[in-house]
Amino acid sequence: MKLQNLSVVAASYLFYGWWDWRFLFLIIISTVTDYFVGLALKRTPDDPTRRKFFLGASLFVNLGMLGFFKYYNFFLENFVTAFSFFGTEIQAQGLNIVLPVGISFYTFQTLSYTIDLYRKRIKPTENFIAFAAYVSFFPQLVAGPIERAERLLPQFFKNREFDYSKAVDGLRQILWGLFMKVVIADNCALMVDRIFANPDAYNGSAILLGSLFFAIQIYGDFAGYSNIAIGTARLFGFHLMQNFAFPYFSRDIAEFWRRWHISLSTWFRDYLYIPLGGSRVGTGMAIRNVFIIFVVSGFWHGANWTFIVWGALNALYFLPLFLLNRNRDHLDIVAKGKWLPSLNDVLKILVTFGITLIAWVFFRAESVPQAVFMINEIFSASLFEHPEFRFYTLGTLITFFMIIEWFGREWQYAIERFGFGWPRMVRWGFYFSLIFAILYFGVQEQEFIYFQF
Amino acid sequence: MKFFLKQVHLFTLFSLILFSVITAGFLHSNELTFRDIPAPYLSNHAHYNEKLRFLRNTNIKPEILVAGSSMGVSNFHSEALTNGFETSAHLNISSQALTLEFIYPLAKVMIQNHQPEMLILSTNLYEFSNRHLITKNNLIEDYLSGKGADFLYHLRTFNLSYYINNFYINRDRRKNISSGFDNHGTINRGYGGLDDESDEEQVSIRSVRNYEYLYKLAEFCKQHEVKLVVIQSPFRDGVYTTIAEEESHYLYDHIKKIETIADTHEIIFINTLDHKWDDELFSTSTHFNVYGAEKFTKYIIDNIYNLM
Repeated sequence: MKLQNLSVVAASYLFYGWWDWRFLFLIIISTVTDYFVGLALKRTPDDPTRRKFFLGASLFVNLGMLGFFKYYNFFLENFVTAFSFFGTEIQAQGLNIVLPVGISFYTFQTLSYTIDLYRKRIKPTENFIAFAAYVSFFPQLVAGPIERAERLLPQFFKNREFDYSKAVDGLRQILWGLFMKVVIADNCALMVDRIFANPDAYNGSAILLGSLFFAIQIYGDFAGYSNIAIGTARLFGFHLMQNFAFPYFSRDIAEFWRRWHISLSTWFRDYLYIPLGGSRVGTGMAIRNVFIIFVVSGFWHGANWTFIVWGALNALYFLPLFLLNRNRDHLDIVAKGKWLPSLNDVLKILVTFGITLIAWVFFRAESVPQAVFMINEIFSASLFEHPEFRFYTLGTLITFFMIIEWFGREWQYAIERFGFGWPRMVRWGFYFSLIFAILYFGVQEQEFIYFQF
Repeated sequence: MKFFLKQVHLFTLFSLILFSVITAGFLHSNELTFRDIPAPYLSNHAHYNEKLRFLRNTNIKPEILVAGSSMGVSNFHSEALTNGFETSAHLNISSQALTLEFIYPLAKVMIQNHQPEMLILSTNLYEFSNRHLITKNNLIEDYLSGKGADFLYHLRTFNLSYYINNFYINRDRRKNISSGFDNHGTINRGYGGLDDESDEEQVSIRSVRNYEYLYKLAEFCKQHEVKLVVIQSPFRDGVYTTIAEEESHYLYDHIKKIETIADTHEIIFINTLDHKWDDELFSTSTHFNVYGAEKFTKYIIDNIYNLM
């Protein structure tokens, strides 16, 4: 087991160092800090002052690294702008900082360990190798899912043996993840990049399509990566949490956020929203808490006002449901056990998708004014003109993808049990057609969007 | 584990059989053979990839290189070049879709590999436009230097849709439906008159970057003692005499820019717009037919001798 864990650490460091070995030091700093903070918290079970100090040290190191690499220039620029607004000119030079891949993911993962230790929800580990493997576990190191120590860490202490059904399941999930990324997301990206690079050149219908393609792109890209990560981990005998649960079939925004980037939403819920008082405070404070969690979530994605507006917009969508106590109306799976949804469900899904689309424009746009311009175009008369490009192939691919997703919505990923009743050759033919599509529709290499976060 | 590996092997075998059946069906229905396989996917432009394969396989050790876009490929006449320069050691490295941004790295590799005496750069507005190619420059350099086997490049750049969509290029050449490169890499456009006005729109948006690449190319040629000849290619008379005032200013400004670079870098600049080019010499607004290419090549060679 020790050798297995050592191999995981070596493979993870090699994987990460392949991109830029210098940033391995950040992972090592994070690992060493939280390992020793863990041991220190163990030795001080009844000393709240020292426990707070140790937790503070972990927060300082992890959030300090994150703040410096991700937000330094943003704060500096806004600081300078704010001062110049009040008539004081400040000369400040931004730094040429490269954002380390996945820093937002592994710092949050390792923070969950120290916070849970502080809360005495878990026990610290004395096994440094196992802890290092937990922090740097390569399938989910750069883009999640952000695992909790109480779920993932114990798996490094269990004997892992090859399991046929898990391995096949893992391969199947990787295949679907690749299809989502290479066929769907990357082909959408070609259109999206064109439209968002030069929105002035397009009419409302083209911009609406561009936004729709982006909604599909970001889902295919991120959920695709999650599937690849979960499938790869499964091949090695690990079980990672589901990160996406068919969010575009949500009937309201609250359901959407229970199904989109689940590992991050629950992280913010457990480590930010609930400590702030959650909904068990006065209405005013509860509204504040909702705004904080959504805006912080937006800011987590990147140091740009577009992400903050995206977060705030989602808070505005969520608020009416929250105030009317309707935010837990849809805890079940839409049209469970049925082939088709009811008309009522269809309308709800379309409205939810529509408002999500508007928010995605802010997420993808270069700036807030650009997003506002694009939304104005969408709601202008040019919406009824023909778009300036053709999208038959992409439209067909997206339709095929959404149909498979719909029929697989009750499972962990769309093709988990797809075609299980079919003869083996037919099922294999289906898998072959997915591989063929990946090879055929694969475009130029496109980085995963979430690597930049 | 054994059972898993057995299943993986079986699935691989199944996929290979299925793939072979599909491939055979595709080849048969399109009258293709394996000889029609396109050149490795070194750029997203199939014709450029074919040119790269030609340059890799040619035995010519060039003393003279001709570079440019489609105007470079088809506006020169190989025999006229051979007679005019009294050497058959010339190579046309031009290809469709190349702007200066992509001509520069290609010319650089060719100069490094062959140390020619002269580089004739045939340009028009297209070479300075903002058209963009996706190329794998590092691989192209190795490929042209003859490193590694051909199939390794196919393997490293594998792109199924590229192969499926571009098989026809070599098939059509094999069946003489379209012309292939002559021994020097030139493709002349037949003996007929105007047959295609689709590329009339030559005055596209210029990119400042491309003037910088011309500057870089001039510097590089100077360093390597290669005489650089830059040509402003002509428009057919029917087009040139009707160019709108605004476009005419645009063209004038463009030529001024080239002249400035030429003056400071010992470049021979030949502006062929000073000469009248009859419509019957062309197959499009800027591409000569065979007669035109021959006349144009002789005109260029005479000018080079006069200016040297």
